Amino acid sequence: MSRGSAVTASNRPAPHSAGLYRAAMFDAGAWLARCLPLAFTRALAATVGWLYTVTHPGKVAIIERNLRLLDATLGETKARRVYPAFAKTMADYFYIGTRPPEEAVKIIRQIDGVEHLQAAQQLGKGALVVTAHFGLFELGGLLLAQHGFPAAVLTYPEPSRALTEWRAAFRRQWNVDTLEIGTDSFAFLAIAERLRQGQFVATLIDRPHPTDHTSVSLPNGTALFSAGIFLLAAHGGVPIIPATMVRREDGGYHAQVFAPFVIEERASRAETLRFYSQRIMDTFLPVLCASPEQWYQFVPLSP
Amino acid sequence: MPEITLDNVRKLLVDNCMLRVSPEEIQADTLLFGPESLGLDSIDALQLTVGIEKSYGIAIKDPAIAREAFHSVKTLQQWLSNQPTPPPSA
Repeated sequence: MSRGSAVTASNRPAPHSAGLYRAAMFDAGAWLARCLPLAFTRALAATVGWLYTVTHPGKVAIIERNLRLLDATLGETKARRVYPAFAKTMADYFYIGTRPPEEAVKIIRQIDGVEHLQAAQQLGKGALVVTAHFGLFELGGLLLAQHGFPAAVLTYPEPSRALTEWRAAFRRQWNVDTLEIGTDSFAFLAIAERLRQGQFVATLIDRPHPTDHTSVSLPNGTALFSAGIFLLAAHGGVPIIPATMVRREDGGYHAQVFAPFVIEERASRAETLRFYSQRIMDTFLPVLCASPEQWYQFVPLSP
Repeated sequence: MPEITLDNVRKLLVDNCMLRVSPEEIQADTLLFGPESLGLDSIDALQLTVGIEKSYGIAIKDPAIAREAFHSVKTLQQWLSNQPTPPPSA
C-alpha cells in the first residue's frame, strides 16, 4: 500500500479511447443494439475492434505486456484479439441494456456457485462481490438483481458526467445502484451504509486506486490492485465473494461465483491487503489464463 | 461524552494511521488530509473511523460530517467531545 504514491489518476494513461468512450457513443451503441440483431452487432463490433487494433499498435503493446504477466508465452497474437473481444463484449453490453431484464439475463447460459450468494445473504451483513475487468462484468449486476439480491456497483467517475449518468441509468433499469467513489477519502462511508442495509456491493479489483493500491504476484510479474475496501469488509465481518462472467465459445456467458470468505486482520493492514488481494488473484488466475483475450486491461498494470 | 483531549486524538491518529511522525510532533492545527497535512489517505480515514467507533462507540455514517470533523486535529477533538455518550450497547 502506498501513501502519496506516484501513481495517480492523472499520470496514468486513460483506460479507454477518449473519442469512443463518451455518452454519445454509448447512445449510438444502444441505438444499434435496438435496431440490429445481436449476431450482426457482434460482427460489426469485432470489425471495429480489429480496425482499432491495427491502427493502435502502441495500445496493443500495453495489452501484450499485461497479458505476459499471466503467461510469458502470451504474445502479440493473443494481444491482438483483445480489442475485437472487447468490442463484442460492448455489443453484448448494449444488447442486455436494451432488452427487458428477464430476457437479457438469458444470455447467461451457465451459472456456478449461486448458492454462495444465498449463503452470504443469510448472514445479513451484505457482501462485497469482487470481480475483474474481465468478460462482461456488468452482467453480474443483472444476475444479482434477477436473483433477488439488492445490489450496488462501485465505480470511479467516468471521463464525463454525462457518461457517469448514462451508465448509472443503465444499471438502474435493472434495480442496480451505482456508487461513485472517486478520490473522496470518505466514500467508504456510503459503501458501509449499503452493506449495513444488507446490499451486495460489486467492485472491480484489478486497477489501482489513485492513492491506495496493493501489489499482487502474477506468474510472470506483479500488478497493482485496489484493495482498501477489504479493510471495510474486515471491520464489519462482511463476506467477500469473488466472481467472474466470461463469454463462452457459443456466445453465451458463464457466471462463476466462488466460495465467500471473511477477512481476518493480519499482522499489519498492509499485510492484510496483500494477503487477501493475492487470494483473490489466485482465485481468478485460472479463469483469466483460460480466456486472456477477455481481460480488458488497457493501461499498464505493472508498477 | 467525557472530554476527549488533544492527546487522545494524537494517540488515535498514531494507533490507526500509518504515520511517520511521533504524537508530540502533531500540532492542534495540523490538517489531516491534503497538502501540508499529515497526509492521511482513504485507508487512514477508514481505519480512523473504525478506531473511533471501537474507542468511543461513535459511528460516523455521513461523509459530509466526516469531512468537516476530520479537517484538523483540533476539529476532530472538538467534534468528538461534542458527541453524546452512546448507549452501552453501541
